[in-house]
Amino acid sequence: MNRRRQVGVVLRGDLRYHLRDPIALLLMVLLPVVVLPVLLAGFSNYQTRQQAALEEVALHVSASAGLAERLADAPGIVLVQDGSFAAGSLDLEVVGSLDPQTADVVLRYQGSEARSLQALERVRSHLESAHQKVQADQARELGNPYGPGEALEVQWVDLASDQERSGKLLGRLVPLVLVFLVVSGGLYTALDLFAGEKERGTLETLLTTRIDRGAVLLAKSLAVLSFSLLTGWLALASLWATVGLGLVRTPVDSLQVSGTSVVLLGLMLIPLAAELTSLLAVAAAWAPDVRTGQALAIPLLLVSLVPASLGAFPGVELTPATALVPIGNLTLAARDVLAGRATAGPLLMVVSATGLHAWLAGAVAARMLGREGVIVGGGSRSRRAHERFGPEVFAAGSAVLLGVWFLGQAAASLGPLSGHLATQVLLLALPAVGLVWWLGQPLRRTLSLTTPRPTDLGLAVIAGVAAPALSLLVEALQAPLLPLPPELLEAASEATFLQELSLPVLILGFAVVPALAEELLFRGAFLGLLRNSLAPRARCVVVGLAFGLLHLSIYRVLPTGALGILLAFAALRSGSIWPGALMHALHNGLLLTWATQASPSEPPGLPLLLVGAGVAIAAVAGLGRR
Amino acid sequence: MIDVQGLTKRYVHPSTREPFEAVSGLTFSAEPGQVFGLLGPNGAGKTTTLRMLSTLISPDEGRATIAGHDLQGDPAGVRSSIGYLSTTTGLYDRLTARELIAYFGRLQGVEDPRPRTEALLDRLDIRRFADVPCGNLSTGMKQKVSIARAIVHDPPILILDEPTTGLDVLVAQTFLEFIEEARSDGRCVIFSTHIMSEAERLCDRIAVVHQGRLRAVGTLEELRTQTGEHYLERIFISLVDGT
Repeated sequence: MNRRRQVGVVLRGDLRYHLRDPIALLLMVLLPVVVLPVLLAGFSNYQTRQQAALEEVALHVSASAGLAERLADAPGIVLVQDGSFAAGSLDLEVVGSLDPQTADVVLRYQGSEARSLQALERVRSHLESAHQKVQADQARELGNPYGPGEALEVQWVDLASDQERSGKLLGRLVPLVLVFLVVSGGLYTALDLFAGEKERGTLETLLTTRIDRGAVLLAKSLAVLSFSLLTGWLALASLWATVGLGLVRTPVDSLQVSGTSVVLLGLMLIPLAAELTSLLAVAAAWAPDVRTGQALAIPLLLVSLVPASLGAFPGVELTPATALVPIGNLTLAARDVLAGRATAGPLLMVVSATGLHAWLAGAVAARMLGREGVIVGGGSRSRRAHERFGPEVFAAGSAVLLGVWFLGQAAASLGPLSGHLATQVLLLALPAVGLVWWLGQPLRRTLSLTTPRPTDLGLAVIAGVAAPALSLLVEALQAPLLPLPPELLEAASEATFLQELSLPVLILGFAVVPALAEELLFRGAFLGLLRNSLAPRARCVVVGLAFGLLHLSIYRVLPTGALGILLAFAALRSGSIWPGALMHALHNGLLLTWATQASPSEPPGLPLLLVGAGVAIAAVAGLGRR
Repeated sequence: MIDVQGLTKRYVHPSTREPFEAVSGLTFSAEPGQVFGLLGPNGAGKTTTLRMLSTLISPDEGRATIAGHDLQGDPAGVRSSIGYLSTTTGLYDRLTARELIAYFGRLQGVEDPRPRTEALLDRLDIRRFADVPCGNLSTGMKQKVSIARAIVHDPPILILDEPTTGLDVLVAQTFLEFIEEARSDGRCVIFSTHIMSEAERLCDRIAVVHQGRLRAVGTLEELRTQTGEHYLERIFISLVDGT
């Protein structure tokens, strides 16, 4: 029996078994068919009420010279000169004249924007009153107060296309709901086919048949993917039918979803479902039973909804950066597709990034699922000794990088010190310990929390004092190729918190805490977990460069990376993270002390930096020697 | 038929995170038409051994040959030669007995599993509930379906991990009769138990395992001679107490 046939036999068995579950049918057929129309109706109702709420808000209107005077006393209108629809500083543009002979007005608005529609309503009624007044005045002058006047000619120019109007409404709702449905459809299936089978004991019997383990896991993952996609596709079909048949009344008169958009969204769901399926399969397979699987998977569902909600934020656009955000990139792209403004380049980027995420998640899932302790159990989740954790470390490193990138910005709103501390503790230190614990490795040994020898601590002090020379040297060497932009230097010099906080607080917050948190993650967890995957030198380089990347600036990758490599060697040679932590704290502390001087001196010249770097390297080379 | 040499399995202890040997250098052999019992207390390494022999987990050291197939070189061959059953192995609740037996026939590579399924329905007296979903069957009925599932591909070797644990006397009896029948069919049966009476009644050869290590192996008579005790329970205690 070849592998394809093996997968086919298990997949057919799983599909047949799962389709007999009434709850599965409810979740995968009824829910997706019903949920979007219902939510669309509710959302439309909300938008109508939101439009009504705009009655108290002053709206921005630009008017041509003759009309500006007429609109000056219009209620709820602020006349602006240089507004822009794109920037959101203009809601309506009015051009023309109320001259009784040539009464002709053009109103340009955006039918996709509630504010614009509201402004249109206000200006139109005000202009009509003004026009009637002009006509009445003229009639009185001519001695014919009752004579019929010329009607005001109004041209309505909606700057938003039908698809944009629809897309605006649907784009806020549909992508988020699609992600929710794809996850919920896959979640139940994953729990039933992985954790459920473990709990029932059927997985064990399945794995003792002739079918290869990889084929079993692939078939199960394909079953989860199938149901996940089925749920998403049914929801799309339901949306198409709802909009096409006009089943829901919305504030947008001509709500429409093109067949192309539906097909495109359907195709985009494939990599998304693959990405989510891998995560769900791992969560479900790792759990010994359905209940634990639910406990693991529900936070996953909630976490996935955080990036998924990006599409609902008006200010967030699809950029090269947001195209890399897992899940969020697809919701932004889906929003653009629904609004008819998606272009091939960004879409390709999103699909490629999601494909990459799916592959990465799939690789981790395959390794996790292939691990016998995960699938079969065997001594209460006991793990085999001497396991390799390359993909897990890579995935964790990527997650930390993304976490620091996005959540770090949110943490920064707490203030420079609190935000920094929150990032260090929550995004670096805790994940370090959590990762090692999750992978079932001995904490003390993997994190190198061993007591260092006094001579090593002494050498670490020397290396730490000299270490700034190494990072400054690399910075100086890269400067001709990669000069620091002036605005970056300016921003650094304007970092007021350096002056506002006392030096001890600065050193504690920006030298000691990072030294502990970053050493725990990089030289502890990552270096320790990679011990069976990479040769020692390669490990130091990889971990060091990853440390450089974490600082999220192309200008800091190499200087900080060089320090990271030195710290990794320090941990490896001494067998403990503490000498490296001491070096790290001294390095940061000295640079901070230098930066907070009233008038910082110029950095030392190259010869001195070379000597300093040499001393640091020599001191690290001396670590661990008896 | 089964030849095990120095089989070893190491784990990292979930609490202390220190490595330990769940099975340490186990060596034994079993022949066709023979019931070979693995006797040991809970945590002795019986399940780990049988899981290794059924390729559910792989050994860290040692080798084994099952019906001529190398455990690590040809795991698919090993699996096609064995029928595996334990009290923790379950059935698919939403499949009927007939569907389930046929499904496992297909999983085991039987081209057309229907004739074999129908034959097993009669042989194990399952026909009257053949179209009832397994979730609605009684424990005894389920065990019969489990047996049918395990032998649908007519394997020469049966690996049974504490198959009677937690079963009432009548259902356990079904199992014991099935094991005797399998022996008379010429199958090699390896089964683990901590119930002395079962081992005494069924086993042609017994291996006493404790803390992952083989304490003794032989026929009941050989074990009696080795320990100077008559009853298996006393034999077992004397072997285990010598730790």
